[in-house]
Parts: sequence; structure tokens; C-alpha cells
Amino acid sequence: MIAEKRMAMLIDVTKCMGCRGCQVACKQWNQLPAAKTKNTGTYQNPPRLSANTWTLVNFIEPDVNRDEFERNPQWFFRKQQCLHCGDPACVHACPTGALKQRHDGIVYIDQAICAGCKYCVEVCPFGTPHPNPETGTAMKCRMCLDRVDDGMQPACVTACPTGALEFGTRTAMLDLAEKRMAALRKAGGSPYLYGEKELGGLGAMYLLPENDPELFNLPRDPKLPTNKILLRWLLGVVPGLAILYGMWRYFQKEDAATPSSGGN
Amino acid sequence: MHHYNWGIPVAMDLFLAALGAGAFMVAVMADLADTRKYKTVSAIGALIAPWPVIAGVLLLVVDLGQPFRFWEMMLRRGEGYSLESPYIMFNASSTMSIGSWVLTVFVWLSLAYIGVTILAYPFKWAELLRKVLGVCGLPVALAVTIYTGVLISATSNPVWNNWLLPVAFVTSAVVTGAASVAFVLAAMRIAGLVSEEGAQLPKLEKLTGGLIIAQLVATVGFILVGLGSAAVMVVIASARFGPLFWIGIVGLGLIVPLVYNLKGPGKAPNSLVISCLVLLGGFFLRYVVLIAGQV
Repeated sequence: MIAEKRMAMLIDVTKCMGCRGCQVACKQWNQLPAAKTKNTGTYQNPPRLSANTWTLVNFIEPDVNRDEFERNPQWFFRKQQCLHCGDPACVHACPTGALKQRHDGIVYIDQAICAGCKYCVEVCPFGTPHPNPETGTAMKCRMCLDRVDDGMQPACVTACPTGALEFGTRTAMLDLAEKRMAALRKAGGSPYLYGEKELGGLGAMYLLPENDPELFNLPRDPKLPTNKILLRWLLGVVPGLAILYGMWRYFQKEDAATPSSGGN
Repeated sequence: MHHYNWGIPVAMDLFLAALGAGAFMVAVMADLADTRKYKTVSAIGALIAPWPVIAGVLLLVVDLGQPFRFWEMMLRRGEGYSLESPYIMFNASSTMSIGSWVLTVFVWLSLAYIGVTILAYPFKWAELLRKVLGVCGLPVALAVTIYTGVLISATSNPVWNNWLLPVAFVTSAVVTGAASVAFVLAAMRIAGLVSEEGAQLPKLEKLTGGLIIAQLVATVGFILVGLGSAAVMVVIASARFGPLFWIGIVGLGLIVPLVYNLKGPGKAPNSLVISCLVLLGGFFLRYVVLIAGQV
């Protein structure tokens, strides 16, 4: 399905300092309106992805008590966005064909076709697409496909000041990740590349400091919910047929045993 | 007020589509088993079948973000989005796509089934045609009852992603289908439109009772499969959904009708009330599962 010219983003969380330049660049390039938000006691803002926020730096706080956190505040940063799965549940689930996977692996929603059934919202293992009440369609990161087509990098990547975001062919990104992981290993770390194999290989991969995706609010071993559909159908068909047969036999049965026959 | 991606209109559709397809199944099976004896019962089922499904489909369309784009699920526009070259839109890996076609086919088939049901009164040859159409409609009706369960179980939603959800929905479909036929038959008896002979109402009451046993088994299975997970606990033990589940769905929607129906007393006014309880329970099942997955 995807040609070898697959493009990918490498998100190196070990280099992210939470400046949110990527968030702003995304809003600017895609002309997404800002949202009014409230201070909920976290630096993560807006609180979650939405139809108008396609990427968001997660400010994940370590599991320590509040006092300790105030004394020594530290966060795990993760740039959340569409991960452009190699085997995308949303594309499997879309009934209109609005969700498309390009040959370079970019998954996008054709806004002229999406009817707003929200099935992609429900099947995505990462909670990426969001319905936009204004347009009635689902929206999500599309890896700045217009920029990519013109040979440019996605807006968020150009804004990143630390090199935490890199974009190129997926092969090049895998090589780069391997190089960085080798350096981290040399320094005594045990890094993990999330997305190398997951869901057909992700089009946005995370270089994590260790093999602990849950720490970064990522599902370990994410599953494609739209697979094993046949088995799900069978689990309905078999009892369904049994019930139909039972009904038929029941209607054939003489009801001589019904003493109340005709009575009311 | 929390906004749900899939709210009450979708819960209503899951219930209505199942009810219509269930009524269709009752009509066909009764007709196949004994055409003469179940003429009225089968005709009632046939006359009920398409309307709840049509209402459900309309609710779904209105609930779309872009209602006027519902046809994007039926026709695919050609390259360059020209309207001149549309072809059929079908995505075999999308349960939503399968479902929209299954619903479309069922609506037309069940409308045609009403046609032959009426024809079969004056014309004997239409009886065979009715049987053929009924048998052809059975897999479609079955698919209508199954697809909703597959649709929401094949998601990343922990409450919905339950292997036995399709079974729970299928059994509930036939239960509500049989109850809707019993309701109309009871109402017709009260109105004096059908004679009392033949004891069809007790027969339908007992049928509903028997099907309720199947649904209880499926519901217990649904809980057991998810037991221990936080997801099922939301359904059965949260302050918001627990009482609705145990009292509304299991108690008033299944146990009370089961105890009453298995005896099959055939008292029309009671049957009206019991059928209503079954139908309400069927709706609440969809409502609780659907909404509990989104809080």
C-alpha cells in the first residue's frame, strides 16, 4: 500500500524542552483559531487535542506528591499529534473514503467528503481525530501535506529549536533514531523507539528515554480495533442463526399444552 | 452538558434498527412455520419492520456532522471529484460502511415484504413469493441486528470493545422485535380488531420469555468478559449507570417480563405493559452501553 518513499517524523522526547513552538507553528500554518482555556494547574495548554489543536505538547508530571513537585518541578514532554499509522484504523473505518493514506504514508481527512459520522474518532487507538462542530467534519494533523508536496518540512518541525523534531524519509528517520539511541546507550541510557513496529510502523515515531510508553501516555502494544471483524461477526451470526432456528421450531410446535387457549 | 460524539440519536437508532429487524425475523419465522395459523402475527411483524429502521436511519443522518453528505457513504465521486462519474462507495473493512448498505437494503426489502404481505391476502400465489422474499430478507435482517454490535465493539473504546457485545445486541433485537409484535397484537385485541381464538398472544408472550433467557445469558456473558476491567464497572457499578442497568435493563426490562411471559397468560392489557417494559429495557441497554463508553 505504501511505497518505499514513506515519509516520517521523528519526535525525540529526550530533546524536547516543552517550548510549544510546534503548537504555535501548527496553528499558524493551518490557520487554526486559538481556544479560550482555563488554568487547571498544569502548564499543558490547551488541555487536550481538539479539532482546532492538531498538536499539543503534553506536560506529564511524575508520580510524586505536590510539595515535592513544587520543590523540584520536572515534566515528561511529549508532542502529541496524529501518528500516521502504517495500518491506520481510521482509514479502515471510514465509510465515505474521506480518510486517505497517501503513498508517502501521510494520513489525512478530505474535508470535502467527510460526512461527520465520527467513527474515526472512536476507532483511533491514540484519540487523535476530533469532530469540528463548526464544519461538521473530523479534523486532525495532516503532516502539512501541502508543505511536504512542495519539498518543505511540516511547520512544527521548522519551528523546533532543539532538534527534537526531525522529518524525512522513514528510512532516514530510523537511521537517525538508531544513531541517537546508540549515543544514549553509550551514556548509560536504555532508549526505546516507539512506532518502529507498532500498527504497521508509525509515520511519527517517538524516541523515548526508556521502554515505558505508558509513562508518556502512549498505549503499549496498541491494537488495531478494526481487525478480527470476521470473528466479531461470527460471534453474532452463530447465536443469531440458533435463535432463528429455535424460533422456527417454536412456531411449528402445536400448542396443545396451552390450557388458556382462546381465553382472556 | 457533556457533548457526546454518539449521543441519544445514535442510541435510539441502535434500538430502533434492532427492533425492526427483530420484528421482521419473527414475521418470517412464523410464516415459514405455519402460514395459516400465524397469518396475523406474521402480518403484524411485517407491517412493523421497516418503520423503526427508517426512523433510526433518519436519526443517524440528522446526527451526522454534515447530514447532506450522507450520500458520500453510498456513492463515491470519481477522480477530481466530478459528480459525473460516481460509483458505489463501499469499504469492506468499515463496519459503518457495511452497516449503511445493510440498512439501505433492509429498508427496501422490508417495504417490499409489506407489499407481498398485503398481496398474499387476496392472492394465494403471493404466499410463495412472500416466503421467498422472507428467506432472502433473513440474512439482511440478521446483519442489521449484528452490525451495530460489531460497529461499536470494533473501536478503541474500552466499554464497547467487548467480544460479547454483538451477541447481547442480537438477542436484544429479537426480544424487542417479539415484544413489539406482542404489543401490537395485544392492542388489536383490546380494540377488538382480532378474534381471541388461536391463542397467539400467549404464544408470543412465551416466545418473548424464551428469547429473554437468551438475552440474559448474553448479558451475563457481556459482564463476565469485561469483569475486573474498569470499563464494565462503569456500566454495572457506577452511580449514574448502575441503577439504570440493574433496575431498568435487567430488573424491569428482562426479569419481570420473563417471569410474567413464561406463563403466557395472554391477558392483553397486561401484555401491553410488559411489552413496553421490554422495549424500554431494550432502549436503555443501548443507551447505557453507548453513553457509559463516553464519560
